[in-house]
Amino acid sequence: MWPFTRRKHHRRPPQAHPPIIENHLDAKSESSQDVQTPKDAPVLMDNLVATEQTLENISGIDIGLLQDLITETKTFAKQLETLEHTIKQHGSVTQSLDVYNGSVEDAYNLLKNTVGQSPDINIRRFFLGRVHRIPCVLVFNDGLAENQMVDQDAIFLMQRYEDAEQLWQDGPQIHQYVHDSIVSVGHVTVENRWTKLLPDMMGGNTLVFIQGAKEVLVLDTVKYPARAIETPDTERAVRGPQESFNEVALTQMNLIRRRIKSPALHFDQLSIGSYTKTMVLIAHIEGITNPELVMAVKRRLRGVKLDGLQYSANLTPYLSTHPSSLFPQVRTSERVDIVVRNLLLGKVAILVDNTPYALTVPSTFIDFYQTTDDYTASYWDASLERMIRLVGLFVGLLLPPLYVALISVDPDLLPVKLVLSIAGSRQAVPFPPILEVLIMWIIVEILREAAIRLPKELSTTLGTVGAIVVGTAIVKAGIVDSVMIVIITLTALGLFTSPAYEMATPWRILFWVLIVAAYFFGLYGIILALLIILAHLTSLENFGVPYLSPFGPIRFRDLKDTWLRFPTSALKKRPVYLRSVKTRKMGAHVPKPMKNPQLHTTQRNPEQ
Amino acid sequence: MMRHKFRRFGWKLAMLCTLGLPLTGCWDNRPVDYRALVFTLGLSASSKPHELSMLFQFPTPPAMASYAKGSASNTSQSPVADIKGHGKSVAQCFDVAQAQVSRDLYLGQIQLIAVSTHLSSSLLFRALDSLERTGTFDKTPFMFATPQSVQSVVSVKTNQDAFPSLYYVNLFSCGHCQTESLGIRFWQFAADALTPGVDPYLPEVLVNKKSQKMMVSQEALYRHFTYVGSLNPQETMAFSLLKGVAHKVNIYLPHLQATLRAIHGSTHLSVRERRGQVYATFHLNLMTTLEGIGTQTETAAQLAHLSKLSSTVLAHWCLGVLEKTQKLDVDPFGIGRKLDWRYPQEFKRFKHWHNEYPKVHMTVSVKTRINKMGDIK
Amino acid sequence: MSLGTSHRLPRISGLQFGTVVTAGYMAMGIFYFPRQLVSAAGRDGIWAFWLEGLVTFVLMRFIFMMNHLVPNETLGEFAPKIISKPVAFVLGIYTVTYHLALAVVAAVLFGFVLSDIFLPDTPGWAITGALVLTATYIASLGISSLARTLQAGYLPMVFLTLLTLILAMSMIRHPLLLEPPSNIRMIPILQGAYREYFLFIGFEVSVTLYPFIRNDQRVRGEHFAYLGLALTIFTGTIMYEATMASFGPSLIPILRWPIVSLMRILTISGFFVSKWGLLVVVLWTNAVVAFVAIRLWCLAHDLAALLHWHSRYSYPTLLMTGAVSVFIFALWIPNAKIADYITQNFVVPFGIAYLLSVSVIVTIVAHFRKPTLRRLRQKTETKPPTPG
Repeated sequence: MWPFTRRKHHRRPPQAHPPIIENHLDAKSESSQDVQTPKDAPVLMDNLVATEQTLENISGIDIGLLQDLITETKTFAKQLETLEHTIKQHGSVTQSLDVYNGSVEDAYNLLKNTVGQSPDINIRRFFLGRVHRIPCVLVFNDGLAENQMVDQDAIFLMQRYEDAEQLWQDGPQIHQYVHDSIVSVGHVTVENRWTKLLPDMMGGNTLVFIQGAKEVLVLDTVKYPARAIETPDTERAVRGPQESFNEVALTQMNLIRRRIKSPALHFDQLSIGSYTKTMVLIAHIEGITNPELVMAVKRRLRGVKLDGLQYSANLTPYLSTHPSSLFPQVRTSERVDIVVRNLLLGKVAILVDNTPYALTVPSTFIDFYQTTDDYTASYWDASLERMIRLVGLFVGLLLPPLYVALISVDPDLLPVKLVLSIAGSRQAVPFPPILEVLIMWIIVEILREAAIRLPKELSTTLGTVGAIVVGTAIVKAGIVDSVMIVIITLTALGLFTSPAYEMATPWRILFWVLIVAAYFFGLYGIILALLIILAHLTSLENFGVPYLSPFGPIRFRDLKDTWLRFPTSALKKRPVYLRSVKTRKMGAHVPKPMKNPQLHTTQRNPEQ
Repeated sequence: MMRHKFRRFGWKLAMLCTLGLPLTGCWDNRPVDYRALVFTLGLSASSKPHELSMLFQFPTPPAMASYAKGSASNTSQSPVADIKGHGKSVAQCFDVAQAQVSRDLYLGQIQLIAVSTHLSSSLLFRALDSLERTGTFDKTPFMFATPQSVQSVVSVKTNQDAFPSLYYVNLFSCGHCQTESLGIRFWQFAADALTPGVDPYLPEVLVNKKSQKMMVSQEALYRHFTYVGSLNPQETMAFSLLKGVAHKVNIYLPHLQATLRAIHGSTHLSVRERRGQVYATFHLNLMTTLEGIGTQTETAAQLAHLSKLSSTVLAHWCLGVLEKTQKLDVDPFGIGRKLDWRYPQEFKRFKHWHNEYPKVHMTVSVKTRINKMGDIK
Repeated sequence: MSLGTSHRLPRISGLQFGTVVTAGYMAMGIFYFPRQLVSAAGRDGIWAFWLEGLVTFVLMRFIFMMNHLVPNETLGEFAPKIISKPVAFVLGIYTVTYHLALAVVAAVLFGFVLSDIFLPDTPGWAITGALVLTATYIASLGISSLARTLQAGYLPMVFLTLLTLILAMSMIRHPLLLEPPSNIRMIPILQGAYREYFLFIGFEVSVTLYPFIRNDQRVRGEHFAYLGLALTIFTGTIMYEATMASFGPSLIPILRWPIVSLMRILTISGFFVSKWGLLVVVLWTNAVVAFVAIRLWCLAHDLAALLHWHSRYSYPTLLMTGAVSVFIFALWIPNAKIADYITQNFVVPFGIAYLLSVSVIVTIVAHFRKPTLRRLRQKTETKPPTPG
């Protein structure tokens, strides 16, 4: 069973069902030839206008509401008129209202009265050909469509076209001729349903209605107003590529495609959001990624029923098996190289238009501690960094609870000199250790939050002020003791050593669980709380992958890229937990030709 | 599905509530500044018969505060508080002492136990037994004995450390800092006192009344829990050689005007029994450094002579100590214990090891090697 | 978390099985160890310990042989169909009581150690309650999560303990005591081995756990269980040697928790925590919680088999029932002496009787009822889930 070749089977039928109205007006229209406007309608309108004029002269009355009512009524009247006209045009044929009927005038009216009300929609009437002039209507979104393309590659060429006889010959197939011979836009399609045409136009395409043609030309004039490709600010790397995704899905695809040139790389498109119609791309490499995984991802995403999808993060609950867990189960990254690395390992990446953060699934705990630098540096360097990162986590998480436990509950474990100096420094402090931790932690969190929200220039000042307040003043004021400052500083730094920002949050919350446990039971409480956390982590599974792999369940092969990063030659295989189709990522027997080239043999004799 | 989720949530909530229930009390949560950290415990006989007098010594808060800041403490005030309690048992003494202290008298950080040599064996046994049974009581403090008043010995002001207890702890925990590594921990004393065939011993601390200086160069010998006598500094030196814990022993040999220093080495005790007679042999393998010799430069023959001479002298010292212990009828070397482990059947035949110990045939064989001779030849 | 035979997915790997089985007995007698051995056999205790290991190995083989009869069902499930319903009912009650007793004893023992050394002012119900609660949470997540927790938490703790024990070797005062004595006296050794046997008594979790191993991993699982036994014997030997050579054979019998005493005297200088050994003792919480969690898991499964209650409510309900019973019985035991009495007079003899008799009886009866067995085996063969 190969999911990619049978893609059509999985695609759902079109979401919008065109409204089909039985043509039961025919009989009536024949009996009473011209449909009259209801008698009371002009009277009503006259009344409204008269009232408005009367009210205008009286000062102190807000006539805004009345004006609104008049405008709305006019719009509604026009819409009704268009509808009536459309129905009449259809005659006796039972046809969907959703389908364009071939009349440029009708199309013009319809557009003018609906989307044409919005100032960003441009509707232009012109004639195709110079000699025999065929009426045409062209509509596009000003700003989203490339004006130059609309002007030069469409209108200009169509207006200047001279061989009009040819045009007449084609009859209803005239649009095909225009498509083939006149317009010079790269990508042109045809469509005749309004429910498709309007969103296309809203996305930046230009619609061309030609008198006599049953189909509408959709010119791809989409302009991508995009940010430049910038350096990844949230995940910095010392070495390694400095490109991050931007908001445009096409650019995101391009960035990935530039790195993986194989045709096995697939982007499967989905559209999520009944209003936003956001493009979501599911990227995977055929022949590496487990097809079951791809299928599962697609199934879950197809199940998403949202009015609007704005951020890729909105999809994470649908991609997590335990969405209520504190721990992030989907790795988000704006680094192109990380997404590509994950794809090559056999994961599935999800790109969402308008969000520069791509999602990769399935993710394990250790994924949140792996980053670009681990693979660009030597394995010594990488191992050291990895260890420091994980030690940072433990230090950050455990230092304050240990402080509370050892100072309050189990002071017998401390060496004599340490207990003396801590007891000495605590003599003047009025608060118990747990309150000290609380005070310091609140200060650090406020500083952190303020530093993120403020402009860069201010945040530096804030940092300095904060450091002075936290570092010296608070100790001098006797609110906390000096050891606490060291501990909280280490904690604040340690918890943020994860390259993925979202991983710091669960620890910042669980930290309090540990503090409370330490408060009551000392070290015993810490161990119990850690066990509960560990059990929770091991119970998490996403897409059938245990979250704590390779620690629990132990996967010895995968352990080589955890606390330490083994040399590349030792990481010949893809992680076990991904169950990828192709396990090896490196050739089995790599010959090493010219290991010791005899350089001196080609050297000129130095004496000569 | 929804119901299931709700149930799981409810379950978690119930668990949290159960965890939250203990919020009503704080049990063992007493920060260090709410505890009086007793560092030194003194055990001596009270003026009343069959009563124990216990000394609880802890650093005073101002002294600790100045210690934490690294500044010198106020010299006029004592850095430590001495609280005394009398009673029939440890618990009684503790309660009397606790009544005099505003904070929780905490025994988890005890570093030192000072025992008066005048304490009767039954009281000492009762005190140590109670302490051993106390769960929170640390089992690793150092112990020492003193014939002087316990309080005067543990409260001596020293300019080497902020607190007298720190002085003793530093001294005993660094084996190589002492001439002989004399430190004995509580559990080691207890193990020796409770094992048949061996007697415990403790370092003995003396304070010079005039100069207020501590001297730790003697050993106090116990038969089980009864103090029987002390070894003088030279005997202690030989004792430590026999125990293999000597580090900086030296001898002067007037015949060659030579000094050998840093005598140290290993000891091997072998015990055998033949027809009711126990033979104990100590093999001492010693290393030493030549510090000086009358002739300034030494010859190989002189060296050989020197090592032979020193071996003989040291062997005599050792024998002297062994004879003294036999006279006192205490076996701090564990000859009986060794016999028990090697020949359990034979050991069982002796009804009381203390009847046998004076009859043990002792042999000391000393081999001294001068392995360092300095830079002068 | 389904209990029904047809719905059970064999989920754990061989290594996980080995870990769970090992964790199912290792925490039990560790605190008393090696007091009973030494008080009965003196210096010969080490021989008694090795004898225990050997006996356990043999019994483990028997139990696995019994598991081979119907590898896809727990003993509680297949026993009624082989040894008749009334006998199986009695056996089921016996098994459940067995699990309950072991869980209670482990919780109580560790509670006493903690309240004696670390938390003297904390009420016992709070210590035991927190322990049982944690164990219940872990057990509630199911066997695969339990096994993973053990792999991630228990194995590192075992290795840390081993390292610490090697560190404890520095406290050895009598190297002479390290060598096993040559004059072997059989009777005291047998006595010691018998009294200390609760060290190994818990390995029968395999009768309930066995069908949860993935089919292809079963042989590996057995091997890992043997490896776990070897590791336990190795650790035990080091513990024994370190304790023996530090305290001597005369002191150990009068210490309440010799191995804890050994850990307490282990100090290291130049670190934030000087009483390193005590820290490791606290880390043993891990082992005890794991032990209780495994017991609770087994208890719930065996109870479900006994009551023939297979619904999605059965496991949580029975688990909570088990947890509450453990908690109540643990509170009911007032002191360590009574816990000791119960262990020596009930848990050890009844446990040994169970281990010796069950596998032998079931295997023999099954030998005479081969057609039933064959039918049973075919009926319980799991069907692999359809992919997609």
